[in-house]
Amino acid sequence: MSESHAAPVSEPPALSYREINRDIVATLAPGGKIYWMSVLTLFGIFNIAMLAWMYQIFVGLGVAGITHPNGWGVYIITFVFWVGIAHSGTLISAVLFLFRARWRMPVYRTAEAMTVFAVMTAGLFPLIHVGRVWKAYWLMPYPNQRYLWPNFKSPLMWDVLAVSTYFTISFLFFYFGLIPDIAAARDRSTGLRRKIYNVLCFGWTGRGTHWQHYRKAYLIFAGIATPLVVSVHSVVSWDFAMSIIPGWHTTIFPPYFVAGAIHSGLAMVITLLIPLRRVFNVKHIIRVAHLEALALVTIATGLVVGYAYGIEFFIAAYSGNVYEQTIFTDPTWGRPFGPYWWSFWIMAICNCVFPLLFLWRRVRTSIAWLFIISILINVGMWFERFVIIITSLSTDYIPYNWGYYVPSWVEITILIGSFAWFFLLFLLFAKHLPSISMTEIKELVPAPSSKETRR
Amino acid sequence: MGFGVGSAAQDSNNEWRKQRKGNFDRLDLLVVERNATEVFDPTGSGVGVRARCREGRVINLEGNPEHPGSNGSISARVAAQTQGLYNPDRLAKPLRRTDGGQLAEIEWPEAMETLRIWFRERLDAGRAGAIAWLTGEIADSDAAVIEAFAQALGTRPPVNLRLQPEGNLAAAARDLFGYSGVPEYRIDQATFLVSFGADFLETWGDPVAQIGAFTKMHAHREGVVGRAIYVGPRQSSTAASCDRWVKLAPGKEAAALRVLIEGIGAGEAAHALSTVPLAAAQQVLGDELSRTLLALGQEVAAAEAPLVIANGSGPDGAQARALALLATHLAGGTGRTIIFPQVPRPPRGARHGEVKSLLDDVQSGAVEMLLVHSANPAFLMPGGRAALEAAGTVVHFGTQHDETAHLADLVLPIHHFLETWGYHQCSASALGLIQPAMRPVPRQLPDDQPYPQHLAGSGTAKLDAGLMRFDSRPFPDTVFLLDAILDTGVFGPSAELPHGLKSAEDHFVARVMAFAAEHPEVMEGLAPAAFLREAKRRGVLIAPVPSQPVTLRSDASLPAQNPVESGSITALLFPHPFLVDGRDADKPWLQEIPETSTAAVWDTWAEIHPATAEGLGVGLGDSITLARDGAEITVPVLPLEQVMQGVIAVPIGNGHERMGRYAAGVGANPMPLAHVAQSGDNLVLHGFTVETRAQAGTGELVRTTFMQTQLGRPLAQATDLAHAGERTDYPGVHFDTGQPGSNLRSMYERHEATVHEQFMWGMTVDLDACVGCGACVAACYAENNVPFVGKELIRKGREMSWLRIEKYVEDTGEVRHLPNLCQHCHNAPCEPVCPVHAAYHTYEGLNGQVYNRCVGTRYCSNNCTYKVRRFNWFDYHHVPEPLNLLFNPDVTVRERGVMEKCTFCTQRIRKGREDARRAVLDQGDEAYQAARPEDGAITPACAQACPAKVFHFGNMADPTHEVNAIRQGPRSYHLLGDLGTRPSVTYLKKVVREGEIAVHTHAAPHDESVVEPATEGSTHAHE
Repeated sequence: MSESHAAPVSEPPALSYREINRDIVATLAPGGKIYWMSVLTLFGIFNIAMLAWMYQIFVGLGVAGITHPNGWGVYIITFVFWVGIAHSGTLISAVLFLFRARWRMPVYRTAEAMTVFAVMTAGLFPLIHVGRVWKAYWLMPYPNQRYLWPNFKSPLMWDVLAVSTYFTISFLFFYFGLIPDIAAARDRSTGLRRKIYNVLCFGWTGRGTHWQHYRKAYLIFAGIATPLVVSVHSVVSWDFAMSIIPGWHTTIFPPYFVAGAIHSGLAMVITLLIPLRRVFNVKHIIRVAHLEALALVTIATGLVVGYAYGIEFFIAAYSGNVYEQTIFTDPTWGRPFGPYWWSFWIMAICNCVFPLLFLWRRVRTSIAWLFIISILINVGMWFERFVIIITSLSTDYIPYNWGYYVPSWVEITILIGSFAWFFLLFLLFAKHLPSISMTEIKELVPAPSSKETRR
Repeated sequence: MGFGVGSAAQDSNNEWRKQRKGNFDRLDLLVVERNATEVFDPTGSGVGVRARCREGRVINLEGNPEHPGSNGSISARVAAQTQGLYNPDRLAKPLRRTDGGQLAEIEWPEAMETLRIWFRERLDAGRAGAIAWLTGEIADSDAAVIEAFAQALGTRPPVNLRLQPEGNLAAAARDLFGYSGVPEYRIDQATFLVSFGADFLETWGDPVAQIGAFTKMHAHREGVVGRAIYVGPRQSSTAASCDRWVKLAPGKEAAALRVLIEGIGAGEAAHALSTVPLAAAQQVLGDELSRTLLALGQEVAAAEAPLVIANGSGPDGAQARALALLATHLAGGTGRTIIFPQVPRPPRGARHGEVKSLLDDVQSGAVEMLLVHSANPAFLMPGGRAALEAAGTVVHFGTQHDETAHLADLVLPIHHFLETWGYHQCSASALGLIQPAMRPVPRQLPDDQPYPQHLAGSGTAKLDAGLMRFDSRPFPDTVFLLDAILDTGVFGPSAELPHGLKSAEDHFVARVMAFAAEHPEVMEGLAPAAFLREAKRRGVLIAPVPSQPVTLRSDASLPAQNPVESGSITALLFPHPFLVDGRDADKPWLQEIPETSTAAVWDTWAEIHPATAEGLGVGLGDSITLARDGAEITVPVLPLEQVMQGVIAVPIGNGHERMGRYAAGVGANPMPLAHVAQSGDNLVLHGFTVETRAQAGTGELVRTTFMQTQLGRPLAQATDLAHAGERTDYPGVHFDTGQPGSNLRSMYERHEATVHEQFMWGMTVDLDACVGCGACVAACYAENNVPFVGKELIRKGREMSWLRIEKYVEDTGEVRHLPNLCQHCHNAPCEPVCPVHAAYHTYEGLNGQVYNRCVGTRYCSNNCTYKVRRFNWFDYHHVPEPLNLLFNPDVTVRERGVMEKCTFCTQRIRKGREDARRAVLDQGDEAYQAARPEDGAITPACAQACPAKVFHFGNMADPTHEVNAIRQGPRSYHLLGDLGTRPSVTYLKKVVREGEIAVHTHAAPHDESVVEPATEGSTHAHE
């Protein structure tokens, strides 16, 4: 590979402030034919999924494959998947910001955008999932004459609150970080575009007080967002851990889910960055070293989820609980051997084995390997939720009820549609807002001479 | 509360109470209970039912407690009869075959004229003998009137077709004891019961009454130690409920009974038995089985009150029934377990040879005109279809458009038994009365008012108007119809029905008064008019008939043995427990409720032992073609160890080509494989050889479960006879008595004492009594508007039953039935997880489910450890007219997208509670508030239906209620009690009387204090 992967991750890009502005604002140039074709294709797929949803609403939830005893299926799996994806955005932007990990700077904007769009995608699924979507507003606590409130004891209610909080904070954090960059984009654009950017950046002029407030507020936001990294997926994991179903009722779930979420989120960041840096020609800013850093973290998270998988088996075997053992270690029904054995092995190999390949420097610095493995990790993470939700429900306490779950075309269509929706949002974002933080990249490079600043 | 001074508040209370009283009274006018009776059981005795009517329509059938054939309970078949009443494909108008060969609707006058002309033609030509009647499972009143009609016209006497006729039994009683009539079994009196292939808890005899009798002789709670042994090729539900299953290949009943009699001691019967040599029988059975049966015979002889019964559907059917009667007699059962009433009831059902010769005559043209009443020979009789196709003229009377109706030249719809008058002799001593419970079902609503607008407006008022507009005359009862033919006068003045009957009501009254004349004691001193009213209220007249002592005739003889076919594969056709002979296949509940032993739905299948299946090269997912004498059927294979090796068991009942949308095209009809025995005694349903052909990968059988083992989990628990009186719990599983100090620790305060002070509903389920008959399931469907969803959705696991019977087979072969319904847990896992409080705990201790509040997250169902919640995946309540009239107006019809589940029949609880309050309306507020229903005042539908009285329901907060005592008994346990859900349903362990209890290899979880933090059940605070 011709790219300079020899350069360490901390080494600043050899660019001036001006070049940074030039290169990054260049990404906002009007899209070409390929860009708009992609946008239209994704929009079309998304609309097909919406039609499928409409069909489901009119005919009944029975058109999905979910059944008895598998009351939850692709919709909840995909919900948890997208919430998980949403995770590493805040991790990279807030937690690494607080730890002063400077390598995050070129990649964090992408990660944050991914977070916001992933939560927006995830948020659709509870609506798609419920039996009477026209009554879904009852899940929100709103004042009403009948004093009918949601049940705050329900983990689903915690979910509603946790996810909406997470969306609010991560959106504000994302948007806040964007303000100086929008201003920079404004400075380089004209006409209507300039006016819109001017409104979006709240008339940012780059005065000293602006910067002062910005820095302080950013730090505070980072502080607020950091606990959410842990809380959101912990709360999502409580949907399962708080239940009484073997395979769900596990105290290890919160850390296990958080690690898994970061695992999938990092993989998704890699998946997004690789085409982005190529299309936008910013390989000198988002360097292989940055991707390598992300890959190294996935080794760690992969080991954590691998440990979690293992410990579940150990506890099932050690506890002597027959119901747990049926889910995990039973040679006929257990996850690695039972009717869903393939999903277990997809999960285990994609999440735990493939990331280990990153131990080899050749693999983790190869763009092709990075791209393939990051996608495989996300496949594995989707199947992790499949394994947890489906195998636990399909073989629980009373054998008479056991049942096999097969997703229907409606569920698959909506699953694919959710990816279209996510990438559509991301495409629109990448062409209309700076997808790399100019502000923070500039912090990496040496301060310019006063002559240059004046420009 | 809290405003206004005392007297004003008092006044307003009184005013309010007056208004309430008014409401109650109006409510009473709407709910009408009528004692219509008689649903016919396989052999034709009746089950007394009470029809619950609302707004002029029958919504539910319940057992008539005064009727000896039901004792207040019903079977699944009985519950589903309302779906025959409201069946959308029920015959609506007379049909006549047109010149083009199609059946076309005609008007009644035309139909009657056609019939008259047809009769006239034959009679004028002096060919009255070419007119024949074939009747099916009809009431005695209809049979009598048809008989009279046939006599009046001089036609052939009617022939009665039934799958399991009683003729052989009556013949055996005649040949052995010189008794004419049908002996009656007293299963409840037996202490040792041996059944040779007779599924007396399902389809043989009068199952509803027999299940009740069986529990009396067998259930541990009755304090009895009766034993029941099943000898046969297939472990039916009946066999599973017996204590021992002796495997006997089909067609060998007579040989086995012969050896059994040797074990009992042939004694005085030695002469009669000379035609059935022992050595031959022993040779047929082999050494080991012979020894087993000899030993069994000795047990029978030693028993205090033995009873031996036999199926009688094999090639040796007649001989087997006679030998069973003889065995009982020799062992000393006569007069105790078998009664010979002094005034016997004539046997029902002609020998199948007679039916066959009639059909042969039809085919050959000797019979020119065949009148079929409620029988379906085209479906049931081998060769019946060919005969009807070749027949000259066929007239069909019935309610269903079945295969026979389809081949008929004239189809005349008649009343359903719930719309007409009649009577039926249920036993020698009981006369069941048939009374209309409603105006005939409107078959076609006026065209100018199609359904939606029709009901949308002011609801019932318009519906009533629709009913009023309906003219019931086009639906004649049989009497009216036949009388109308005779009335035309063309048959001469002598042609008249007995007593000048003009309608079924006349006939009914005449029979009731005649019965009173025969048995003056039933009048109880009442005037005739008052007696008639009382008879109608009771629905049954009972005049005990003393039994007559019988002795073995010196010239006693046994029927001859038919040749038994031997081959590597023999067939066993058995009546489907719900569909029996197929006449109930058009009732969707009966198709939908899982068959009692295989959990299969909406199909016909072949049960084959796994080893045999392997030899035949078939397995689950394959089909097999069975062929014999040119007839063949292809059915899905179900490998099961509940049939003997070398046997292929196929249920009878499905495989209709016609009979409406619910029956047509479902399964395959195995009856063409059967044949009438050489002796003409009976249809040979088992013990004949068939050719087989494997069809790989083409047979998908839909069952509600693929797991009939509990994997060693302590779900359906059992104890042995020695330990039935003491508490023997699995390690780690503790019974939560619900009292303070119970060994189940909890982080949460118990709320019984404070919140459920007045009401805390509870139920006990006695696994020892349960025979898995499915009556409770059907009753639940009927009472609670539980939708049926069809085969495709059940394949996906979407059946909607609130109550199901789980069958578990242990490694030892022992079978346990576990009725599973909402446990109404006090620490319910479903309640706290609902984000909108749709699942909540009521202050009466029920798990409430507010359908209108449910948004359908399905978390409750996921978290339910019993998986007893059901989700409405589609708009199931859109049923074809007029099935919608069957909806119980007391129970919400659920919308798509909401969760539903067992409510303990909350509408009945509500009514019981209100009734208790009504009783004290004038005793002031405090008494009103404190009023509690008495024990037994409230019975959920399942408990009411159950013939074995498995369920017991009551108020656990009221110490006078028996449910408290039962649930504290030594056999009680909670399903998954170690999870700390604290259910309101308490199970009583099955008592295993013989052999080892299956050892549970898995210990239950050790942690006795497991209480899930997520299962705090205190949402009642919101009330």
